[in-house]
Amino acid sequence: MVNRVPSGGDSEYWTAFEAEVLPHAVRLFRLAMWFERNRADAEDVVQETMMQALRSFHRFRTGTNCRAWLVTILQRVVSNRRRARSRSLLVSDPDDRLAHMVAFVPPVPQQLTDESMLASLRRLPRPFQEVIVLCDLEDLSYKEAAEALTIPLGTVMSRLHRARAQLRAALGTGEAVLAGQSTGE
Amino acid sequence: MRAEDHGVMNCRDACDMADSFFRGELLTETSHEILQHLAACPSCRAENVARRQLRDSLRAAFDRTPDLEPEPDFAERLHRQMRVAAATGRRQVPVAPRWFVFAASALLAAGLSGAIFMTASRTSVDALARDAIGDHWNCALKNRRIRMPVPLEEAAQRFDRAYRALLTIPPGETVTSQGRVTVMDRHSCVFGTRRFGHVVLEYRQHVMSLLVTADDAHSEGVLLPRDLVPQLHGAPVNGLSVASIRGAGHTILVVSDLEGRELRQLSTTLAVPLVGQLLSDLIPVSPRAMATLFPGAAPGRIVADADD
Repeated sequence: MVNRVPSGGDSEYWTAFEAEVLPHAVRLFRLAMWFERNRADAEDVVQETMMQALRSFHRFRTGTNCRAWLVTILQRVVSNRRRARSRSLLVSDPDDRLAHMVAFVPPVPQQLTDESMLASLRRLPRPFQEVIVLCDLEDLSYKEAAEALTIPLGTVMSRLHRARAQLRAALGTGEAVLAGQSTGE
Repeated sequence: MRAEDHGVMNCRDACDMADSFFRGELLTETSHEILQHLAACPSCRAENVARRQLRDSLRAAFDRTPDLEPEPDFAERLHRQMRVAAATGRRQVPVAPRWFVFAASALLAAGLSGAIFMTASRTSVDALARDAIGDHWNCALKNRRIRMPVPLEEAAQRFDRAYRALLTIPPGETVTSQGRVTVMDRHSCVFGTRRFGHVVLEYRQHVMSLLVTADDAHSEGVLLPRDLVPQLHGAPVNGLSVASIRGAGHTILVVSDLEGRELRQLSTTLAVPLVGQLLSDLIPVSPRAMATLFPGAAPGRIVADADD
């Protein structure tokens, strides 16, 4: 069975899609790469996301948050892939393994590097990473994040609250350290 | 007046709604209530400042890190693919070639035609590299194996005692100047008809495989390596590169999507001690000689030092 997309003669459809959606490709790749941790898989995820977006672009309302719409699709693609992986006989989730293998060593409060910040984010449990990435990095609203993750809005808020607390504890930061970093002291 | 009583709104509500407030998603009246609360509550103000600074720092780190960058031609390839999909109305072949378990040899042959690893061996090292990439892809990246993996100690008894060396080499964590290499898993597995000892590693969010396989019976196995510099195998295939070194009748391959030079450096760190261990299991050498020849190798079989 062939998955049909709105075609061919409708060049306006393509022009609008090209202008509105395709510029987000690189950003979507960064997001996909964060979750998939493998270039080939990340490319697959982005391509699948774009294909679904192309098929349903007629439902997208111009002027609304296109990035949030695409991120929702991407998150669904990532979740479906993860569910398919977890159904395989040989279960091995690198994220879980990493989370359990990396011993938590309370960091010394100091100037934070990009690497240390992202490593701390990476060490959070996956559900916490997801809400931080969607809400704080991708700027989705609670409602958009809830739709993307197919969880209740209250759960988004609760996870976000706990995720931020864990992240700040892991970074060992108080306001002073972050303030120092931001002012370049 | 208690902090939580500033205005109509309490601290918990102000905290919960702060994100929405800063995004401009709230009704005017609610926004005013939050503003009133923040004006009067120093701890909520401080909490919001800290929250925004953390978010801004995280965002900057996420946007800057090169580990999340796509390949330079990715956007262009995707654009082309989507244009064709839109024009034809059909689902297209994916941007990244699909990797099928048993059907990749033609693609690999083309990709590995520039292989630079030269030995007088009847078993083509291209074929080994092909199998190594296949095993890395299916086992390390996709957890998709035809047969269950075998624990290394059992595999050492049943198939090849060399696998025993992988129980300790590489160690659980190796610190390099660029970052840590962490062992995720150790086992023996099969790709196609070839069995490997397999160590799955992680390095700066890259998954790597260190694979050991015995040289084929009909090939000229290499006992002593010509040098201790792992060789890269031609151009990357599907983003994956292979470096290898031969010795003690085995080939040790390191597979990853890292750039060639970095892969080679890491391969030296990971594979050379392993060659040393495999050799010392075959040929008694003194610990001093071992340390000189193969820095980082385990003592292996301890024999009297010739100078004692």
